[in-house]
Amino acid sequence: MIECVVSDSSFFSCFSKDLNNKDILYHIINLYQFIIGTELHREISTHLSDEDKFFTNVSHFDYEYDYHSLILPFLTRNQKHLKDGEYEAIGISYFIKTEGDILGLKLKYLIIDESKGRNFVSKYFPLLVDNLVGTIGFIRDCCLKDKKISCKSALSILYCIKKKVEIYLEKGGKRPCSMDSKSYAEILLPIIKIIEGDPENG
Amino acid sequence: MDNTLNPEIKQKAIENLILLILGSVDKEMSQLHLQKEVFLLWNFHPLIKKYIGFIKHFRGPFSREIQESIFSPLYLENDWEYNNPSKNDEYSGGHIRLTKKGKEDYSKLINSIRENSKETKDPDLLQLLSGIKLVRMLYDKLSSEELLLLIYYTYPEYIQKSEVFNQINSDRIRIFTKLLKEGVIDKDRFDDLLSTEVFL
Repeated sequence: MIECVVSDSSFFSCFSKDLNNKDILYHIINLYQFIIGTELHREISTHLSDEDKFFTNVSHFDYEYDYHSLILPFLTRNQKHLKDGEYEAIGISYFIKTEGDILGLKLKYLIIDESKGRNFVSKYFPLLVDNLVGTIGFIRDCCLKDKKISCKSALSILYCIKKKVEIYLEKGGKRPCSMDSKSYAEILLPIIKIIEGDPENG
Repeated sequence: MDNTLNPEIKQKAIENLILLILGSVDKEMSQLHLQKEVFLLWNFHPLIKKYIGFIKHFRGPFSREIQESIFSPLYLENDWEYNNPSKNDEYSGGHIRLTKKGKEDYSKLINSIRENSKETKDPDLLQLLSGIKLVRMLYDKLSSEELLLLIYYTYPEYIQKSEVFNQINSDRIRIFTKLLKEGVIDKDRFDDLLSTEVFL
């Protein structure tokens, strides 16, 4: 069974745009089987110029399934215009969770950072809640649970994010990696502390 | 809808789709729910658009192919039974449930789809199965009025020939408040629905 990771675009843009470090992204997408849909494929193509390198490591469902339309009656007008791959990621995750075993796929993580999307999963897709993480939680699990990256590597990524968020909190602008002061204090800092205190972090 | 398709293949596909939807959850389903859930799946999966069309009708989006296949199936005869709506039931259009034979045919069909998909590694029909599970999970719990009203507000173009929109819409505050209280919709969607103006 192949363990899969599905994510919305914020995860990818955190590394490629906000941290401006595609090497980390390419390293991480080599560690798991990432799956994206058509909507996200289009979106990512616009900001990953060396996309060949990216797409050789990511599986793409090359079908025009409109997952968005299955949940449209529950979405607000603003959400309806947000074809940002978030709902596609939820749809793909639900597919893998319910029928993926036939194709040898098992859902490991669904990465969503925005609270709106996370609340949507909690409300309508209880089946996916155990797989739901944010980018920071994913880095934590990647290191402490799955042992795919060392504590040193995880901390180096998290310190980069921390630095970007601190600049944002001081100067404003676009939120890096979908973080704000609340997620900085309640998610990022505690996770850094946990990894710093891990016995494997020599 | 692809009119060049062999009518036999098309009819079998429509009846199999109905069988898959009815068999996905072991309980009866209203004709209105079946029509609207197929409509949502029709928007989701490109395959369904080849076999079925939807028109604006008295109770929102309506597929003649689905209705005809419910009442006069050619290939899956006796797989489902239809019960008329009760006296006070204005919207459901009656209820359909699988028979014992239908449940057996459902098991055979689902096993054959899964075996075939495993062999070919083609996710297309598995995506459809997953979509069916999803719409039944999300929409079965809504009453006929709730489902119709949400569909009308999401696809206002289907109000055009409605015979029931004005009647249901006059009760929209109560219906949307109930959906909010039961946690079916969130506050943002509730505010959004109340601030949306749709007309016949």
